[in-house]
Amino acid sequence: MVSTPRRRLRPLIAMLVLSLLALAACGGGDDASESGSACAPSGEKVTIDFWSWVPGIEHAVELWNEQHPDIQVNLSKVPDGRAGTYQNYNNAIRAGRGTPDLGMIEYDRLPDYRLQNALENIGPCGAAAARDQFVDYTWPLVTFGEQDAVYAVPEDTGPMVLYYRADLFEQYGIEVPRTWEQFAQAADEVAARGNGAHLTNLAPVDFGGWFAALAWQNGARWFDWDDEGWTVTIDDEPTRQVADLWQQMIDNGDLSEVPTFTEEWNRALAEDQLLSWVGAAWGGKLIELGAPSTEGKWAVAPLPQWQEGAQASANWGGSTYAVFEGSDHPYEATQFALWLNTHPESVAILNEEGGAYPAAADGTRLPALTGPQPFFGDRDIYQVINEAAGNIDHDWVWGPTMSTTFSTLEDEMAGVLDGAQSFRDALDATQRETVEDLQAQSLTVTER
Amino acid sequence: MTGHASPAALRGGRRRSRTAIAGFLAPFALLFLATYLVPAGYALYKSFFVVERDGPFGTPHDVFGGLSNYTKALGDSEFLRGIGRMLLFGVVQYPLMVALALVLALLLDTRSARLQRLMRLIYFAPYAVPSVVAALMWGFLYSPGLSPFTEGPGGLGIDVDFLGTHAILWSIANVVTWTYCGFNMIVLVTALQTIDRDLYRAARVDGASDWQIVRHIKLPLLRPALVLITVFSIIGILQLFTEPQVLSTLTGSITSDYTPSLAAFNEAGANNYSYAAAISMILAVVTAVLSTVFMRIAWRNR
Repeated sequence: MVSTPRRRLRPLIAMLVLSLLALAACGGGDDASESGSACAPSGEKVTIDFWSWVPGIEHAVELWNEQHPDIQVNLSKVPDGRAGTYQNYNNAIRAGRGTPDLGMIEYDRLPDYRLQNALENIGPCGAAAARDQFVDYTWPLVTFGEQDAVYAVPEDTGPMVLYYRADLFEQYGIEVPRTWEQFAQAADEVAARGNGAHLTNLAPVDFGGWFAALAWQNGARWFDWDDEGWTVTIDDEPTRQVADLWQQMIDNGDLSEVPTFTEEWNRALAEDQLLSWVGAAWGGKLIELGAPSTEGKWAVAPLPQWQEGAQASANWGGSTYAVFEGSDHPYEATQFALWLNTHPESVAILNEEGGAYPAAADGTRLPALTGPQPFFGDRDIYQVINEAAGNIDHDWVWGPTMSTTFSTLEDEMAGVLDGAQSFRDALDATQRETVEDLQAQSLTVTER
Repeated sequence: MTGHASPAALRGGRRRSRTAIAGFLAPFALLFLATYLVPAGYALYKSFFVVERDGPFGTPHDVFGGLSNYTKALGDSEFLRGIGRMLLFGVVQYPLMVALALVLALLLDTRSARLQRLMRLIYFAPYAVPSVVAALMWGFLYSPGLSPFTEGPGGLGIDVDFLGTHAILWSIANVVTWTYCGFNMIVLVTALQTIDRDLYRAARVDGASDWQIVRHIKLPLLRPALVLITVFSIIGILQLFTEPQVLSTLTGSITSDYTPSLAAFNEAGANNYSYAAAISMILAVVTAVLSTVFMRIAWRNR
């Protein structure tokens, strides 16, 4: 063959240029058509595409489909949001087609989709009128404080409490901590035994949302926005106070570094190596599944407080259902979402099979969520959780790029646990990266 | 057709054969275009864009941003550290893996080897395990509290944390070696089997020892196969993804930008498509340059 490399490359380059031209021709012209604000039933038989990753939700959908022959729901069980579904939403939004009518989104991701203008305002579709049916603090998270607007229907919440081993606390002679100071003290006492047991664990895996909740409890406010743009204060004083406390426990070697929700964690729980867990309402089920041998030994207390006698809690996790912009049936999708998350039978299914702690105000009166709980030594743990839900600051605002914020924080925490940097350094880095990411999304940021 | 073909007939034949070549190439070329060049071209195109909005909360849309994604990536110390990490990984893991594969292949190729087929299958088996499964399995073997390995040395007072910040890169290297060593061995065994046995007989007649046969016949003739697996490895190592992605659910030591591919994946997941595209392009260029440089050197020294 006598062909110079350049000549051989020429057809390749030609193909590349052609493909680019073809793509350029495809792009552009995706002006979202503004639909009217009225949201009316279509009056005919409709099918709603619905994406969720809640285990067992198919049973609730079946129940709905039986009772509502004219609004049939076509469920796709999708992977967990962070395991791919968020990316699929993003891709579909970019492509301008392929989003479901109704899709599951966690609270902290809603602003992200709101800012992509991907969410339908379902306030006029009946969601605004349903406000009273949901736990108070969920509402600002799905309305973003906008007048008459609702962008999602809350499904479940995660009020934070302290899960602890009543038997081990007694054995170690530890009082249930009422303040964080007492908590740190107890962590020190347990570690001092030197038998490998710890009061609790701290690891960078799944750390972001958990830490945000602890900052939330202390009155931190990581994000805020007004007509000028966003304010980002991940390194504010309340957050630093939380960081300093955990820094102190890290420095003293008081914490186990077992990552939460792993097999290793389950085993540490089962082998009495962890005495407590600062967790959310949905977490009790996870302990039960992960360490069934500890049945009867667990109890629940309110979160330790920053001020003796205070009662603040915070929310970790929980999800919502949002109608995506461009849905042909926003009214029907909203009606289904409201039924799914408030109808006693549906809420019971989601709680029993999916472990969801309902966001519906009435949901907390489910038989499964009242009275003695066998796994928790017949203690009425949901009474404590219910009270916690009533003590959550309504002013918390999630930012539009939580994926970056959480992954930065988690990356930086690896260095903190290694002793390579301080917790405050990690907060500074997270603040910096978050601001950069907002700016990369062309959002205006005003740093305090 | 007999006799001399006229020039016109020759031209016609050439034209026909050109059509035939095009016909045979078309299925490949179309798929290559649709599944490789177009996406790659689109990623390249996207990598020059940045997001802009009308007003603080307007609809986001992409505008041309020149090289800004590239300057951002090249100024991102964590991304550069990820590339450096992969180079370090390659410099250590690749020679070990190939040396092991080479030893196994040469052993299987000796006259005295027993149960060759069975042993070949056993060495090759890990490659048949999907890499996600392999990573999960090793993840459990590494997890302190679950691992049979951490308990043993722990009892002797040696504290090993396979998933800790310092060990994790080499724990990943171990998984990769476990998975791919057998594959590389098979490539080498196949190459060894194509060597004409007469060469060995001739060498023996000349009084060559087994070692001399390895040194002067087998190794030189394995050269093309070694070049091939080296290029595969350069590409594979720089694009390391599955193992760290799976292990990252078990440990905080693997950050979201631990490897360049992870960085691209996570940026795309965070809706920063253009930046992810720029990262992918840089990774592709680094991979192409390294592979080309290596092949140049390998062929020049032939």
